[in-house]
Amino acid sequence: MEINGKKYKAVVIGGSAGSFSVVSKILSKMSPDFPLPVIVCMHRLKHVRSGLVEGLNLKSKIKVVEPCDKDKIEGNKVYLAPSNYHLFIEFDNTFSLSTESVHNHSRPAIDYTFSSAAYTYRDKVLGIILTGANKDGANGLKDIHDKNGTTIVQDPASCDIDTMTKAALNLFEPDYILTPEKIAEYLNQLAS
Amino acid sequence: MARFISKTVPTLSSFERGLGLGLKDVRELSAFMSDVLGIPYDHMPVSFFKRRLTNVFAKNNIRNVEHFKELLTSGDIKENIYHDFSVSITEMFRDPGFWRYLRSLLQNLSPGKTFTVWFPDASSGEEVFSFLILIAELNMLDRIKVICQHPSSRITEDIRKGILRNKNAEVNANNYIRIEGNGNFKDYYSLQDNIFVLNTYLLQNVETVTGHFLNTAINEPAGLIMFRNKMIYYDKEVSEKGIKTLTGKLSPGGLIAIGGKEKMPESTMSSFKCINEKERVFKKHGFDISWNNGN
Repeated sequence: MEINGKKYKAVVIGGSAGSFSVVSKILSKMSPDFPLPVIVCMHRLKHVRSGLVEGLNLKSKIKVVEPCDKDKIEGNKVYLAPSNYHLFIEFDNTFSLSTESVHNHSRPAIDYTFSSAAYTYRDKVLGIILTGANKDGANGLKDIHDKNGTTIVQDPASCDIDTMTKAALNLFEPDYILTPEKIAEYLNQLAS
Repeated sequence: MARFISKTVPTLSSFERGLGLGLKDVRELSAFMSDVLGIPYDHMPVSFFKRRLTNVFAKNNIRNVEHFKELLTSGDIKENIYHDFSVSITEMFRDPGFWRYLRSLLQNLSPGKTFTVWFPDASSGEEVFSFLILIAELNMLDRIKVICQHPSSRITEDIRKGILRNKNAEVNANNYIRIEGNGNFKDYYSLQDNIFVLNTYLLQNVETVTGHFLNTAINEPAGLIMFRNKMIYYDKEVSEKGIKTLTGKLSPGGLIAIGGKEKMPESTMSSFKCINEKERVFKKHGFDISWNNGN
């Protein structure tokens, strides 16, 4: 999977308040043949274990699943971090889960998923941070940036709450700042 | 496409960079720890191992890997490693749906039936104390023996004394409401120096064992094994070995509970029937214990 001469192994997306509709919009516009795994970490209520996957599957053209621990990561699937677990990507291309303490008041924490993606995939990962009301994800996205992965920050002007995106922008210069529509367009270039 | 020119601000180092360990270092160090301590640290997910090791280094003021190896060999920090490597459960009645389901199973047990419940990796008191409150409300405290096991003597001692060191009172109380308990959560504990202490009468049938469950198994068969969210900290090989070890100690017809996002290793499935897919409860074949809902 190559774009602008760069090969990718996965896309990771993080978001918090207001991000469900943004993720839903992006997935609805993505090509059904999108070949990479799309790993989504969204802040969610810990005691509500179902509903979110079903909601995303209503609009997504790619199958959305919640991974179990040790599941193999496959292309053309959207993986949603389960409620009340942190989600990590391991070197053997599997997921690992953890019930360690909350980070930035969150479990799943976006920083953890992003950082593990940076560590595992290095420059072959595309990280996207969306609307949200705390700073979780900013450091993780910077880890992707530091490993020469590609980074996209949702245009703060298009966010319901821009705390998360601005926190990222205060840390480093991302490759792109895009609206949700443009993010979907960009991703589809990967599939074309 | 738009590009953004930002100011450059120094950032926090990420957890992955914490100790500056590469994959080769992790493999060597985890194998060394396994040799010295007899616990399969070399079968833990790499990201998890690094996070916990970072935790151990920070809590014990360890300067570098050589310093760590020195302390480890001398035995000075053995107990600290057992303690600081383990993951506290962080909340009581985690997954309220599971606890409601477990209550429905216990309610249907034959009157007078006594049995043992084993927590082979009780990394903190939350899960154990939740269970004790559940059976207290079913008037089953005197019918169920509870055995809690962990390599750290500090952890088993805290459980024996009913102590919780995490301050998650609000989360615990809210989860208790979600399980629809029939009492008042505050009646089950007191605060001593701002520390949660479970009421003593709930602990009357609790025994603690210090040691890792792969090396030190209990001497009696268990009717229920609580092993939720423990396999996530080991690879497939040790998870499988762990479940086989536990299966050997589970009574025919006994139950084992695993985490909501864990899978039973395939090679062990011939010993079990899944009786609740969502709550991940499995029943060992046989009929010594009659779980009426789970036949």
